[in-house]
Amino acid sequence: MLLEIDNLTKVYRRGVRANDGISVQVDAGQVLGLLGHNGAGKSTLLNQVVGSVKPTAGTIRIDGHDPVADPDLTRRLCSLQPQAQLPFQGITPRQAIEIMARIRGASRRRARQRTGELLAALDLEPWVDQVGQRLSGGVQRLTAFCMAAAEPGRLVMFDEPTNDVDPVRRRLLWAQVRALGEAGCAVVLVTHNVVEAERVVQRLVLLDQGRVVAQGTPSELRGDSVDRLRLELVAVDEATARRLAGELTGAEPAVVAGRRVAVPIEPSAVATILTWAQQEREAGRVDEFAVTPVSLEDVYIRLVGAENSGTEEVDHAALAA
Amino acid sequence: MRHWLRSYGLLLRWNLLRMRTVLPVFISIQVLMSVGIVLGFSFLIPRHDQVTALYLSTGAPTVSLIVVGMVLAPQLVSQMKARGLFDYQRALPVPRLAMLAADATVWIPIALPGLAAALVAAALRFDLSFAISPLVVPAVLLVMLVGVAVGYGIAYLASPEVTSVVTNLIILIALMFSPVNYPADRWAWPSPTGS
Repeated sequence: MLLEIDNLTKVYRRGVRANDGISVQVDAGQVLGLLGHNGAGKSTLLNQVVGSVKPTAGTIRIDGHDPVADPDLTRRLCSLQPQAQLPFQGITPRQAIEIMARIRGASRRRARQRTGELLAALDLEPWVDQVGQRLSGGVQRLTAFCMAAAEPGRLVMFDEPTNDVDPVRRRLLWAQVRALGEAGCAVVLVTHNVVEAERVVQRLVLLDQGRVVAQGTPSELRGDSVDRLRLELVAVDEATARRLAGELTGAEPAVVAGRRVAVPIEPSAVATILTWAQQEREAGRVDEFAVTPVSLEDVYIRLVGAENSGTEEVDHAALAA
Repeated sequence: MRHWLRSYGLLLRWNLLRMRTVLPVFISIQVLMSVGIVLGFSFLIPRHDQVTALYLSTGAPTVSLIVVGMVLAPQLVSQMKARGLFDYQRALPVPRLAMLAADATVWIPIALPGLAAALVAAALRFDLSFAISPLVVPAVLLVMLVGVAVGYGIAYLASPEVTSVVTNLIILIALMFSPVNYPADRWAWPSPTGS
């Protein structure tokens, strides 16, 4: 294993337990997704791996080396795109990426080549020579991504790399994350973009309040939900929603949240359910309905819970349960 | 050593590029402040003899170096801390001293014009002529390095808010209480009267 984290605990002053007995492994060539609410301890975990935060207990090994005992070597082995938006005043994306690649050990030629490749791959060429203060948040975030990815070392970690990034370039970015894995890097990816990340990661770790609540491949985490579909409908009013929920017979009881009703259904029942829903819509009792596969996001919300989240997520959690 | 020098060179380039927009502002303020010390103190002390003139002429450039290293540098580090750049740079695979040296080097071109301006202002104001020793080069470098090291120590340990207050205090102490603008024997307490 390239990255081995064993029973890692970080307690900040005033007793905040940011990480509580976390054990995670990432192999070379593997992309690991790290999911969790804000404050779940994801960034603290990454900061301990790069050596900028000292663990309270437990061990970290990067290719067998301890970041606390041997910080110089481990800093060479891993690179990090931090969650904070880096300031680029006075500096262009091309300059920033090239200098960081060279600081991380690339030759002048390789730094130039990798910078060109990444800027082209992420479709950033219109901005390559514009100084940072004129760049949009998304372009700055992508530049920071390239700064970590240009000469990544053996372990590269991205902390929410798609924040502020448009949907088209998010896809380009995911392709680069995949390419890093294929090139043999161990990749750790912190993201809230569960659905998109699912296409990139081989394994997922779900953190909640500093603890690992689940880990495995996306299909392992889905478990028995993997073949499930879900009917979601919006009734005209709450009373109708409750009455319709009573009529529905799915794989499990329907859940009502306001005017919304959701029920897991077996694939074999889809045709019957769709006909029924269409009749209800024509009768004016249902505003809209949809049948979708149970997404990894639903599983995530069910496992992590929806505390500290917005009401929309609370509804979503109730519906996904 | 090769890795050290390479890291130093690249970090210096990174620093200069990042700071090129603020460099002219910093240099201008530095020049104004250094000249201001020479002229301002000469107003405070209306009857200046040769000793006073010499102390002010050498004190002003020294204070300007202290201000750059212990006030401007930590304030910028505070900003870097607040914006996450400080942690980012700390995670880079470069020798720690190369990082400090690259930072200290950036402050030298910011401090030098102010230092020269203070000497010129003193020469004009007090009608002095200077004999400049080659030792001034290592002396300036050492003062700069110590200043930046202390400044970094403050910014590293304290929160940005505390750093801002402490650096303001340093300006006051450097200007009024450090015996570089006047002879140290004036520190006698209670102060001798009739002198």
